Amino acid sequence: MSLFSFCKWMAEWTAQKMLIPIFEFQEGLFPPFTNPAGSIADWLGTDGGITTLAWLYAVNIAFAVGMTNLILVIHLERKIAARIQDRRGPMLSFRSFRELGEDLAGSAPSWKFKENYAGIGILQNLADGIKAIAKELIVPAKADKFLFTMGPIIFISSSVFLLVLFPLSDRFAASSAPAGLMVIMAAFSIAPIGVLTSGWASNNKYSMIGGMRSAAQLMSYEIPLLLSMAGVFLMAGSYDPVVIVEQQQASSWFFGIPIWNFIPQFIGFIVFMICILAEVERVPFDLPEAEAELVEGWTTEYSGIRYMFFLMAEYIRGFAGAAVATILFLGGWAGPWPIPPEIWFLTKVYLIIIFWIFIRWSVPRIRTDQILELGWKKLLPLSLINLLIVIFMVEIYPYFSEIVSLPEVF
Amino acid sequence: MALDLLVFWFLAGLILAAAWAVVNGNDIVHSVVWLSTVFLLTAGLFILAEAEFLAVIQVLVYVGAISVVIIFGIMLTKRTLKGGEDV
Repeated sequence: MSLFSFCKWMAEWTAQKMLIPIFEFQEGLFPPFTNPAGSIADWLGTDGGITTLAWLYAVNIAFAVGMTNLILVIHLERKIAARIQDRRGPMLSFRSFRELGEDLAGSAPSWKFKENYAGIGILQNLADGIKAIAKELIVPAKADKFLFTMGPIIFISSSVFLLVLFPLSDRFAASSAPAGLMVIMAAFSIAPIGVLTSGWASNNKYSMIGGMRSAAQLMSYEIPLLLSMAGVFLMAGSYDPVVIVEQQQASSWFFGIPIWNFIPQFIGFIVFMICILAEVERVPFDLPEAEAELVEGWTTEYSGIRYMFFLMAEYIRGFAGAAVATILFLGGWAGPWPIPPEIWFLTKVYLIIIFWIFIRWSVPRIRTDQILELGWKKLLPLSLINLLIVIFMVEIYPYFSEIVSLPEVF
Repeated sequence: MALDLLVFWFLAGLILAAAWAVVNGNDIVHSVVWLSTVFLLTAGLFILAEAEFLAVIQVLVYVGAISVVIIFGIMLTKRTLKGGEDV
């Protein structure tokens, strides 16, 4: 049963059992007056109404799954950082809640804890959220108020859009566009506008330098990113994530073991991983928000829930980037039978994210003068070489092997 | 069919309003942000015309690249912060 058919069943059930009776009851409340509730009830009875309701449910389920994953990613980042750097907060955050309870109640609660409080650090997210909501939204006096408000909105909306775009498996998908991965890249490419406007509108040197660095970085890394993706698109002959994963499963190497795209297109895989790191602005490429030199870059002037939006959007983009890398190069949701495909997909995504977190706490940031050189002089030629190899594999070699009977190797 | 027409006129009105804001903006950065809004809404028109791929390419090229290049160009030219200080 796919997600959409489940949602359709749920939509029919809720429409018949709950929504239509409620709207008809509302229609009967004030009979002399015309009431749109009756026409809404009629519309829910039709096929179009049920389908719309089912899409609403599907998108909401995908959104909820994505946000849950977001919380887990943030928790994972905090936890691994705490392990690497010996931080206390994420490991012991429940103790502060207990101390708060002691302060409020006047005495210690009666319930006992384990001595080391293991596994309770996920409440650090809750504490962070409460802190962010409780803080004041400060707008600098000489800032451009309109764009200062619009910047976070553009950034978070284009990032949340990403959550419903990638499928967790061929049955668990809220969106099934034939150009699926291009839609994801389009949603990725809206974000620089939000970054630039919020960096400019803060009316602050460091924010503006951060915004300009971000623009330079995102622009120069988008080209090798799309070129390394082009190799995969050429091999699968489609932009559809489902078709791409099926193609990776179908191309077997020996003994029926599927050969996923990161083996024949190893150069493309490396280029893609570096470029997606730059695209989601994680650590070797976090120049736009370099704490040491730019005081958090383009997010300096933001406070409270707006800063939380930036943080959240960055983690959403990281999760979506890891998901795209999994679909393109690591075989997506394919895996041995007893474990369901969604779990396989999330396992691969989380492996990539854990790899990124390890990079974050062990690798220094690259210099500003190196970043464009790396993008244009090294990654762009490498991605072109990868594209050339794929063109040879897909187009030229089969053609010549038909004419002069070469062995079938690819 | 009537819903299609309604969405079309809604999008068309928004595009015209955003284009008016591009021309009449006091600040050139505001104009560029409104221009990218025009590009995004045009992608909506393409979706309405059942040309989804064209809409995606519209967003990828115009919003993702051209608007950013324009903003980048504006920011690289010499200008002052509000309050008179040079950047």
